[in-house]
Amino acid sequence: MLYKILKKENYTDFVEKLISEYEFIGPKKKDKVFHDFVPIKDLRELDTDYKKTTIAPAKKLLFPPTEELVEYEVGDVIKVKPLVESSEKILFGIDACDINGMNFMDWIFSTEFIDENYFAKRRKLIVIGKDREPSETCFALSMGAEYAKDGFDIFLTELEDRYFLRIATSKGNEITEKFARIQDATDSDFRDYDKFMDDYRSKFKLKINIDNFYDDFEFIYSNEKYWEEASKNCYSCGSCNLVCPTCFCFNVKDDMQLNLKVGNKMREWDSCMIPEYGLVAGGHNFRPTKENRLKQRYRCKLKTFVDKYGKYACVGCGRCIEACLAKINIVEDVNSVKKEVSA
Amino acid sequence: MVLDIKENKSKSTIYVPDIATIKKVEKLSPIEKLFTIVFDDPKKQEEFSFRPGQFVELTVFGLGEAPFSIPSSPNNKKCFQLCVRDIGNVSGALHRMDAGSKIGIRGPFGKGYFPYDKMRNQNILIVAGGLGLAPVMSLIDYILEDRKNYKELNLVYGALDPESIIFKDRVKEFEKRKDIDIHLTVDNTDASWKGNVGVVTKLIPAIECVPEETFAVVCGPPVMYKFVVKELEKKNLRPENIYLSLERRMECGVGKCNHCHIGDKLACVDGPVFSLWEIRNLKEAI
Amino acid sequence: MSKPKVGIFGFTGCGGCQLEILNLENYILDLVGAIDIVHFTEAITEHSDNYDIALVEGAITTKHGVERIEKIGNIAKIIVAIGSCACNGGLNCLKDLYGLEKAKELVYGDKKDWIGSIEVKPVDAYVKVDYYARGCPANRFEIVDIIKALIVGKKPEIPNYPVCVECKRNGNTCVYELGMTCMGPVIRAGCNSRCPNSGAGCDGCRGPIDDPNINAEKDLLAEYGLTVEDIMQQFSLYNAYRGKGIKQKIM
Repeated sequence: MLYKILKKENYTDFVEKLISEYEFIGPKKKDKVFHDFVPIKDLRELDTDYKKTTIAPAKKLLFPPTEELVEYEVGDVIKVKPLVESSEKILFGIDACDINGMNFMDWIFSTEFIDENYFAKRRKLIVIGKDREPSETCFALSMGAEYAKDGFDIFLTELEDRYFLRIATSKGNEITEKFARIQDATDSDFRDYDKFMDDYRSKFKLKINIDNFYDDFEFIYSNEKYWEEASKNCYSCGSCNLVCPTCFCFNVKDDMQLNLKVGNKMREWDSCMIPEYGLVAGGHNFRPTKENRLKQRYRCKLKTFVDKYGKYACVGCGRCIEACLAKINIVEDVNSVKKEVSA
Repeated sequence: MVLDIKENKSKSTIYVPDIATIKKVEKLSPIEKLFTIVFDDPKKQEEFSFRPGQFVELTVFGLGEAPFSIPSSPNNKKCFQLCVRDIGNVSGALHRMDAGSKIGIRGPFGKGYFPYDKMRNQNILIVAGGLGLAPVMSLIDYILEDRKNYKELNLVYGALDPESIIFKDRVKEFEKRKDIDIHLTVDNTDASWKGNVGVVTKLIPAIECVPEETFAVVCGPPVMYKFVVKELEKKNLRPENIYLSLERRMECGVGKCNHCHIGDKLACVDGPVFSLWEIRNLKEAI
Repeated sequence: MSKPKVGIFGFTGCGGCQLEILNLENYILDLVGAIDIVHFTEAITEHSDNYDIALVEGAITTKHGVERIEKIGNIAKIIVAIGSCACNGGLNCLKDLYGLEKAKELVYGDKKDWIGSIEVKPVDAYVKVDYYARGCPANRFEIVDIIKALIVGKKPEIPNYPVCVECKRNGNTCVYELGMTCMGPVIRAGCNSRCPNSGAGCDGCRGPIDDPNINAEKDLLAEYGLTVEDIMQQFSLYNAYRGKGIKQKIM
């Protein structure tokens, strides 16, 4: 890691250069409520002080809602061609917990088998992170995801009159050297950065009582009343999964064009909250009720990957809480498990 | 972002199937057919090796992809077979296909296989229901081809009715052979049936086995497992020695799409064969 | 493989779903390449009674309609209902909320007995419908998908999940966040979240999913200031048919 300083008066120039040199994706105000990560052509469109974003930013760039994987031509000979798309892009203004979400996705798509459709895009994505104020539903601090140690090229932390830059890759170093007027960080810069981080962490008001959940989950697992109450209002609509920066489930489908000559294999985002998720050919559904499904979601987020990945599959961004019309709240539910256990 | 994950030079991805040809189609029952398949690329066919219990993803081009366990012997390098019940989109389309048709194959997949290595010099008790005979056929053949290295081999097989018995010729062969004891039962009889009637669990108590020297293998419809496991536990078999092949919706086969979750496990990469001990605390497994 | 013969028929409705087929533009040539259209009420004058697949638009609202749909039922091997009217009666069913006689009187006055209007029913009240391309109008791409599935020999995949799924895939802001109401959480997807894409709430034209959480939706609509009457109206717009569906479940 290299530590550099970018003076505020030089920030605009730096970002403008990046916008003109690269395909640049950043947060832009979408409507009165949300920001969305979209291509930015003009600095004035960029707004990094967003409060809410429904759409998992990194996820959709690397793992689009629908994506063609394989194309084939059917005839006397069958020709099969993998479809792998990638182009160099800058993702600017992503916060630490979303970077941690992306790190989880990196792990998923590289473990056991390497998913080239994901990694072709990931290799060419230049990530420039930036801190932002946590939203009301954000509980990233309790999930240990409020700070990103890696997964980015450059990370900007805004101090009073300057940005404290953490440069994690040689690519990040090349970019700052080429496009930014930077200087080395001094002791006083570190002192201010350290103070900023303490302040920043104190801004996370929402706390999830996650420490013993790994074992407590087994305690609550068979408590039907608990799960019935927790999932009572669930629409099985999958919104929680589809806005999640770490949800990676997808369907694989084959399709044929009307000419019956050219077809493809594609994937689309799926959700474990949809009844069809656990359905197998022959009609047996392994998770027929919304109680089963909510339980599975919490298990997947907060237990399964503690074993496999060593971390939670939840970065505490709070999007699922924002998105749920049934007001199902992972923080309240987990905290109430704790209460049930200690009662 | 610089990643340690090396660029893929092979120009293929994990989702690209290899082209194969259906060489032979045999009807096994009113709803099941056996397909003999050979890869078009001889090199691929040569390299294709699998362990009993593993599965492949089969693509019917333009229509869809579905997972099937391999019932043929791993020692057969010239071709492999799939036993398919006409039950869904892909299987329905396969049933309409004739010899000569082209399909796509990805795999074999699954780190969880029937542990034929650990089973050496042990007794083996196989319990199969319905189409569940298909995945274990691969193990049976493997053992029969290496018979001297295994002790007692018992197969308990239950079908809906006499007509629904799959691999009828093989079943008849097993009945004649001395090196495998087959215990057959059907739920519904017809006039021709002289054998046992009822569910497979009824036949298990009568089979003698030394618990510490016996491995059990179970494969069948989802409802079967719980009851069979109970019977096997009554015989004091160790949960580490009871192996179950579990069916889930294995869509990608490579541990990405997550549909085949069984609690904390994925059927496609951790399974599809699990020991009872592995899934002991996964309440939705069986 | 010989091309399947397809008849496209219209009953009581606006004809918009048939126009959706004509609006396929880039696909229309491939479509007529893949199937033989032997009857198309809105588009061709020739007529044939020899078809395998019938695409049926509109609700059955007259005695004559009953005779026609029964004849189609006898000929076609596969019937696909297209559009809300054909699938669950659609807007036409609002008529029946007045009572048949009262409705006839309101519309036709003293000439009401001249008109053979009967209680509105969807197509499957008279003949077996194999597949439903729901929506008002039906999603033309879904119609193509159904036809393609029938040609290649698979069961068409009609979503049984709520509109929210497509809405989120499309990256929309939830219309509730914008202060409006929406039926999306209980209504079947497949429209590619058409209305929320343009910032409007879902009116439920595709009817409910198999297991809608009606109580949660009622609570939600009430929270956004709708009265019980408003909620009933919201549910009834496309789902007033009493034979099945959402209306029955909330009463």
